[in-house]
Amino acid sequence: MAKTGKSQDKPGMLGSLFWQSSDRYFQLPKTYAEAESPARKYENPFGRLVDRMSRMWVRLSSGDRHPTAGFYVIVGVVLTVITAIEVWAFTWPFGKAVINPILLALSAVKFVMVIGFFMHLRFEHPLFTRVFAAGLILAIAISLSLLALFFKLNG
Amino acid sequence: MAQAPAATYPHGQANLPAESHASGHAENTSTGLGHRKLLMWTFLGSECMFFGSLIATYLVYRNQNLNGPYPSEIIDVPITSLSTFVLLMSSLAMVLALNGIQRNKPRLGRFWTLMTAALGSVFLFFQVFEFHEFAIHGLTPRTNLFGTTFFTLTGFHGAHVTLGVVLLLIMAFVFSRSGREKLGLVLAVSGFYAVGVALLAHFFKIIPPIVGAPAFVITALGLAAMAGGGYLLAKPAAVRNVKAVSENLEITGLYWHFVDIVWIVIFTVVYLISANDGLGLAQGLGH
Amino acid sequence: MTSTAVKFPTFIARPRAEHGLWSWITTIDHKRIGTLYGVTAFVFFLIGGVEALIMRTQLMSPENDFVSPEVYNQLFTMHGTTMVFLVIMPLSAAFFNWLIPLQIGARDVAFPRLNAFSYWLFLFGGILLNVGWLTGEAPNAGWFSYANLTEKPYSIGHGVTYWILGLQVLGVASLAASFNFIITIVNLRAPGMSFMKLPVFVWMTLVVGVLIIFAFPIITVALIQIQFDRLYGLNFFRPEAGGDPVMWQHMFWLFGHPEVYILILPAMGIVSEVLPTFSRKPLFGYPFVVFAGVSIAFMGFFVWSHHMFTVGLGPAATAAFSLSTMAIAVPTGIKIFNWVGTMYKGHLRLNTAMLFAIGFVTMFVVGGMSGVTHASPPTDAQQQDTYYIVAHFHYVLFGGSMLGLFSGAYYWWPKFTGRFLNEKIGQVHFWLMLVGFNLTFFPMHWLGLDGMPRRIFTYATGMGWDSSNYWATIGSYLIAVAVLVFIFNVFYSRKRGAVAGADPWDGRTLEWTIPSPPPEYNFKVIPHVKYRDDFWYTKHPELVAEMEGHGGHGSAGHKTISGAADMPPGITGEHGDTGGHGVHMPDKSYYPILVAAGLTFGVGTLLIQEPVILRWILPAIGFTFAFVSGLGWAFEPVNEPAAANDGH
Ligand SMILES: [Cu+2]
Repeated sequence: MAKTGKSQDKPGMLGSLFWQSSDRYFQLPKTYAEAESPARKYENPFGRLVDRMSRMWVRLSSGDRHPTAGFYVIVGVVLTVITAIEVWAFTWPFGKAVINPILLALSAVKFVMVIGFFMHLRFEHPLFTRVFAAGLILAIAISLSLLALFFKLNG
Repeated sequence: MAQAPAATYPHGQANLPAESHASGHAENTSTGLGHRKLLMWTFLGSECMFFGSLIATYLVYRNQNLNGPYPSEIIDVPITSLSTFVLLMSSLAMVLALNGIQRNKPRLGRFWTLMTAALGSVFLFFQVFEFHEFAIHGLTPRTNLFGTTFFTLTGFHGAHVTLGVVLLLIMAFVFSRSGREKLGLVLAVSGFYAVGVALLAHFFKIIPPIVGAPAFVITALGLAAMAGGGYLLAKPAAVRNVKAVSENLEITGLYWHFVDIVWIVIFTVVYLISANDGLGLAQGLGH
Repeated sequence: MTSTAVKFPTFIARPRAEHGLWSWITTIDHKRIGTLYGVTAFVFFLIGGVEALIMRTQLMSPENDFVSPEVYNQLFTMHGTTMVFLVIMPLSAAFFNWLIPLQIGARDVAFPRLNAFSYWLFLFGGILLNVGWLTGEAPNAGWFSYANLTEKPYSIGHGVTYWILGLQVLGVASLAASFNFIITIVNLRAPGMSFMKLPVFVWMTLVVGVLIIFAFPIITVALIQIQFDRLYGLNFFRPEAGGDPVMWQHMFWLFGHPEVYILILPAMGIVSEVLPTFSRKPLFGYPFVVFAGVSIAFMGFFVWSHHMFTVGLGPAATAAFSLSTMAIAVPTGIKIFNWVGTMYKGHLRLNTAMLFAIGFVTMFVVGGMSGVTHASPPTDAQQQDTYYIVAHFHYVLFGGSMLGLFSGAYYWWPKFTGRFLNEKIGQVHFWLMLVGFNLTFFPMHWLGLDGMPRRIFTYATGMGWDSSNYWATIGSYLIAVAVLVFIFNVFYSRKRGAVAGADPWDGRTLEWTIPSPPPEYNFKVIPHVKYRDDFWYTKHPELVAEMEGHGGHGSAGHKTISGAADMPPGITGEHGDTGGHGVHMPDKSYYPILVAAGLTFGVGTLLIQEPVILRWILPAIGFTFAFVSGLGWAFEPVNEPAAANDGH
């Protein structure tokens, strides 16, 4: 695995929009070890605001070697809010074609938040993500193939 | 792959040999990752296929019922939203439990472990109530395809939750060392289930013999047991060195969160999206 | 370290037997478990073989009445199920168990007790599947038990229920074993052994493990569904309630097609070890063999409907699955070319192991070719359910998997036992088997194209099928004789076989660096690995420069890992952890067999429906027993603290 933050690749024309030799734009630090480095600045085209937000993120998500309890509570609140929006969206007076994709997207967001933060995948060795994603993607692909075979995709 | 320094990943649990807290050997694994945690993640990948097959069957058979009750007549979204919220909160409690253990606050960890089990049990109470309601309204697993696929899917999810609750209660028991704490634990847990069963039985008439006075007596006794157990647990005592069991709790937690995300999918697909499914095939839409 | 360990309660005293029956029942040594797998699977091989011989005898002449149609149905069902789930898979598992730790330089698998648990569950599941023979109602709906033939009104009695519950138990056994081997391969490789330095057999084991953990949950769900239909009256596959029997076919083949790769890939891995050794050349195009295996695993999940062309899926679906099926032949073909390329200009040593390996390649080509023919839906429509299909999959599974497994047996026998299998008897075994096999199955191509259906217990005279069937039966007797010759060879060589040293074949992989048979702890010192085929380059340092000089596409695989670069090639140095410590192997345990017994009892008694009270009590007893034993397992340390301490 490439060590994040120490990339020596020369970015191309397009890449230089998002990358800088020292750091990556929009790439949030993943671990306490990264956050520990005191000299670290989250350089970005938007100046200090994003830098400060990044620091806040680090403190929340990896303070004291593990994400803080406060961070988990925030994630829980967000999950609850999304669930509330889902139940609310359920009552919207639009057709299934509009609402179902919204519902699926919202539940996908919840899904990713739980595996990313509660199950720590975001802070972990990528091998864990790979073995889980393999099963997940295969399951989704096979389910969709089956539904297509039974002409159910637009039901 | 596999050459990443373990130190970069604080949750990586490097250097733990398989199945052995007692052997005292620190074997390095090739990836720096613990065997058992990797096993759990691989298992969860496999479980995706298990629940994927169940959900796919549900979707293929959606709207193929030859007779009612149809989902639109029977699914109760508000109640299920409540139970979904409860399960979501149990996931939060789970992660707080692990957080407590990892910060070496074992009593906090045990409290949240018990909370997780309690919230999971409340979810199961909801499920018992729901299955019972459906049966009253004439929907059993044998009634039609919706019944068959719905009860199989949610039933297997419920079985997973049940296993998770059992594992969590064992964890909580392992944390507690003194006889006083173990007694407190038994009192609190049995009191909790007594109250749950009594309330379920009284308000929803699921178990005819305990309606009315017996239910109130059981509830009172249960509450008393919970209070006594809580008192015994709250008094400070030497707590087991939880380092050895924190990996167990972490792995149990992964399983618990997985059961939660499966419910996230079920809630959307089976409840929100299908709640208005009506006559379908019976209406003549046909194959 | 040990001072922080938690003292857990234990239910039963730790088993201590070193010899005799109890030492085998409580063993968690991967080599002993491998032997158990091998012997058990070979017994099932004999049972499945006898079933086949009875069927061939029945079909020897037209309008024969050697067995009744009812028994014939049970025979072909159990023959197929046995050979797939109780012979080829566990025989492969025997090789996995024996060889994976040895080839990656480990002392045992990652979860030794889980490994024992897998074996016992396999044994009990196999018995559960075969119980029907004793009660006179063995499963009789074919090895894929199509719904809705398997629903209660059409399959009365317990036969199909034995099949469902037995496979359910076997599925759990396979899953547990696969998790174990995946974690072992990922986590217990010797220092320096990166993925592209793994022996191909290890790679194929990894791929098989991944296939199993993703394919078996599907059949688990399908079996649950048909079980609920049969036992509790649910509606999954009952058309009268809106259910769709075609859904069973989809679920079965979603599992079933990956399953055929689960059956063939281990043999491919074995052959990829045998051919280079006896050609005195490295495997030609190692990365291609590996990536072909990986891509087979991935594509294998998206071809399943080629088993269902005649169901009528519609032109779009049929075309898509036809194309994907033709595409999956490509990686398989790549492997064939790699094996041929390995032998090309090699110094071939045509001993029994090598002959079986070459037999594998040639027979598998025939089976692969006939397989591609039914990728084309119009052709498939003529071949569906005929003896052409029977010919095809026997060329792949017998001519392929079984010959490959026999090759592995002859190749690694010296490592397993310390003695060679007799070479002359081995050659007789090979030629008898090859001739008998082709005599049995080649005429079936003609029979099938001539319209003879599968699964018929007899046929009328004058169909023009008589002589082909006659010779096929003679061929099957020849196979039986060949198997007897093999059994004779095993017993003959036990005492009289030539004694083999650590490295009798001038091998390439790590298992040949340790004594034959290996000590309980395998490696006194965990090896450091620098090259693919590391042992070979240790023995032949003059070849290192040649190999490194190749550059080009080969160099990617030959990169040395940082840190090992300054070490001399080969097995040097010492694993840091073992320095100064004695080697502790995990202690024996009762719990794996207890949990497996409880689970099998719980699942098996689900079929008892009659007194309603037993319907719940017996399974509850079984599962509770399994759960309590599981608690004992969880709280039992791998090493008794006392035993672990005396080495420090
Ligand atoms: Cu296939």
